[in-house]
Amino acid sequence: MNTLMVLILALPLSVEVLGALFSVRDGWGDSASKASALEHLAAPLLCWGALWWLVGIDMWRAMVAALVAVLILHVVTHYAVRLLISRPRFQTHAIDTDSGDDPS
Amino acid sequence: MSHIIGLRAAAQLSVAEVGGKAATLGALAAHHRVPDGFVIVTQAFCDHFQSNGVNLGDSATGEPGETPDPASLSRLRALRLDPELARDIRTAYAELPTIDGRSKVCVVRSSAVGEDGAVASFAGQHATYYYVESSDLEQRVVDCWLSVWSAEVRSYRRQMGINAPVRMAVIVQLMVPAEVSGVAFTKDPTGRHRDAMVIESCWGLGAALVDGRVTPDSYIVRRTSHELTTRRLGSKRFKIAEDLLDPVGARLQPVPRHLQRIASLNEAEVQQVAALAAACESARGAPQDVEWAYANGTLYLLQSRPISASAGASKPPSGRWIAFKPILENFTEALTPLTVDTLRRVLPGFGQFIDGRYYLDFDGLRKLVPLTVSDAELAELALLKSERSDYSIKWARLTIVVGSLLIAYLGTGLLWVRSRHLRFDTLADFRGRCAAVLADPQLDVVASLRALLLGPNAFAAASQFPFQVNVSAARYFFLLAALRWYLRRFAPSFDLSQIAPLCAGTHEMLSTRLIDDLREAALVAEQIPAIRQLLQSDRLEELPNQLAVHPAAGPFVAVFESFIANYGHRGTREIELAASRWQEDPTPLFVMIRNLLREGFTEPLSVQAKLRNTQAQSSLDAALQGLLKRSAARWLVRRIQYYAALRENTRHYTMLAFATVRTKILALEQHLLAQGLLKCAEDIFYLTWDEIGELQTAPSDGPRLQQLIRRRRLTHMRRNRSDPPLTINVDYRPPRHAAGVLIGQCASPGIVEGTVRLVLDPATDGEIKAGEILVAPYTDPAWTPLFLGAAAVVVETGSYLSHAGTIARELGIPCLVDVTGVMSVLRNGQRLCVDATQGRAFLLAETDGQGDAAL
Repeated sequence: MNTLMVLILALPLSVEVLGALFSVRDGWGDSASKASALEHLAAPLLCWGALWWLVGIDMWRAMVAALVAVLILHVVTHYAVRLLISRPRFQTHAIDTDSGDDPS
Repeated sequence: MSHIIGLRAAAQLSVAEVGGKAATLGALAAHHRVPDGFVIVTQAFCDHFQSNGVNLGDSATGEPGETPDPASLSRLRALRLDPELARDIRTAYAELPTIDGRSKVCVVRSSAVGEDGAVASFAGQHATYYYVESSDLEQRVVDCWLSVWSAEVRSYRRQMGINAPVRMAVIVQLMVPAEVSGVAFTKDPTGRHRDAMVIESCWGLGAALVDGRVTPDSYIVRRTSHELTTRRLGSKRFKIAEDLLDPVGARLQPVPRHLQRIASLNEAEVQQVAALAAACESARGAPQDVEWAYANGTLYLLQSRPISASAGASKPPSGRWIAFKPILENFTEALTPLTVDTLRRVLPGFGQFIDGRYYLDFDGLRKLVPLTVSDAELAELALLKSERSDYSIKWARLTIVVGSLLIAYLGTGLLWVRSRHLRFDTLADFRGRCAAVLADPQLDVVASLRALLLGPNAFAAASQFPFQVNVSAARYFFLLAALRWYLRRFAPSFDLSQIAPLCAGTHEMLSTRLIDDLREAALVAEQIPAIRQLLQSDRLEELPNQLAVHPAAGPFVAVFESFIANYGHRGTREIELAASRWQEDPTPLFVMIRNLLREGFTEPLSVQAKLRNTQAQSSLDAALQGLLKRSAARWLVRRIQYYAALRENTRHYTMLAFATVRTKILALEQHLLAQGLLKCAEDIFYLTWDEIGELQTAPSDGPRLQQLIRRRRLTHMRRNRSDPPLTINVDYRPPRHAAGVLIGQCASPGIVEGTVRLVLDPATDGEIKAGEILVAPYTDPAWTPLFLGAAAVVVETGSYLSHAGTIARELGIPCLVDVTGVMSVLRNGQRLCVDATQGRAFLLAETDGQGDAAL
């Protein structure tokens, strides 16, 4: 039960931490962007660390699992959307009420 | 007995003998100038086909005849006319006079029994042949007869329930070398304008108009006084040549650019056409659809038929649908079939394109909304028209919805987090991605748009996902609601109308920077007298060529080229792939610069907005007690400013993706035109990708697809004449305006009084006087420079988040959006009081009639 609770708390925090880390990478080429992104990484990293400290060092598996889960979900969502949209069944349909011909 | 009679004599015979069109034209020819011609009566049709074994049925008993199969039609087409009839036709042709001493070129058109009747007009169904010379005349008569059995006519007869035996007379009439031609409806066929006639005109022959190849000029005229009330200029890019000796195949000519955007009729001519149409209506006793032409200053009547309902009875779509309000302004005009077919292949199936416009599934929406609401209430909520907040919540469904959103957040949240503090200048990296996609021959158009909208890979930089970041930036709407609540709770003395200037004033918004950059170009132009002079020309489309060779143009050209490099991919109706961009046609920008020069310069927008922002900030500080409360409010304001700018800036780059795929489509179009598979520029936008594939693999399908293009062009033009329904199969009626009061939504608060200036297209109506109230069907960045001089903005569609509201808030001018039907209700020159704060506009007394003269 404890592990589940930790996971539920760690998942949104992992989104924040990974998002902030990605932001650092996004701004890596530009020193002002990089500095700003590093600044905004501090708060989520602190919260993530605080959670880990609160739940105890033994919960490292749940904490890491949350990070990995978010990363996997991010990748799966990206490619699943691409895959689905390339299938006619999942695309938007179009109808023309005048001609009877259906562009879809 | 001869089967040929003169056109005027046709009025003496029955419809059964000469068909509906010839009977009408013959009667009207007695009182109006109708081009000379003759009629081959229906008996000739019967004799020709019955003698060749075709059972035509019996007119007396109504027994329908046979419909020849395709093989029989080929055989019938090859048959020659009876020698006696052929001789009579040649004699009648020889007796025709010439018009203005030109060689005799004819039009051969059908006049079937039942055609141009009150029940069915057969408009555009039977064949009409233009530019027919004596050598082709007999074959064209046969072709015209055979069109009674074409697939389109068979389908039309089936739809209209017409089962009578077919009989067709043929009119052979001299062609008028028209400089201008068009149609006049004595009653607005769309029903938008009561007590009004609608006149449409284009350069050259009217076939370009009735084939849907040009967007015509459109004039609304009062039925009684024939006074011109509204004029809308179309982009008349092509015309059918008036030169009757022009070689076959080259008759569809480009219109010189300086003529594309000027009115093809002056006010006196409009009134003359209106009088002709009214006379036709009076003679026929019913509202008429009149075709007319001007040749050498003389007005000719070409045809008059009753206004009938659309030929193809529309089949209503199944299911229940509602317009998607946040993007509704993109669908003020229906999208072309190719744009629809491209977009539908890159969008997930949350909604459906119906007749070129995007709708959401109403029943699907009902499942998502965790509130107990009726259909009408749900429609009001979805259309952002509801002001209620006391709906009862379905808690079980709310739990499911929130849970689903959380799961979605886990999958998409990384980008949401990354877009929280994105530096706007990094978004420009997307230009490189567009260039790479454009250069990749492996990617077709759909794959290109998909690649640009969905991003290259899961780990690419956030700047590569402008479309998704744009969607995520809409969160500022919720932050704005939070700010309102916060200020009501903790700063009751603060004037909430100051929220708009409080949240405006970021100089990083590209839409406002666009105006400042255009202003810079105008400032440079002002300092060079020669450029100022060139900008006053009526032929601004020639300006790029003139600038290229002008010795003093260097500084202006440098600034202007820099502007085009940054904003050239923008334009009006940007989501429409058929719409041209500023980099292709910068004329609208020259008009805007001329307008800036004429109306004078004010402070740059960024400076004005910053000033108002500072004042609002001082009021906020005075109203809020305590450092913590002030800091929280400031944080909310900064976030709203950031997301508002992010939304506009990511839209800027999303539109770069659209411009990129348009470039690919234009390259494909050039290829198909060069191969002769397409006849005319822009035809490609009236096909789908599957049909373009068919055209390339089976060129023999060309004629069928050309017919399809023609039909779709006409349908597209008709759709754009009427307002789209907000809901389909949903029991909801939008609120109606009381007399003299217009109801809308406040997008930027304030009260102002001014003169109405209706603008339908900034590319053609790009000039507005200081203090006028800009009234528009929708707006996008191409409209932004018009905001500069406007005292207020009133928009027919749109919402708080739409472009009009965002820019009006930056400028600090009142803006009313979602004012249904405002383009039909208001006229130029009327005085209007816009109380945007209350979401109302009040019609005041009209000015001294100068209004529509200013059109």
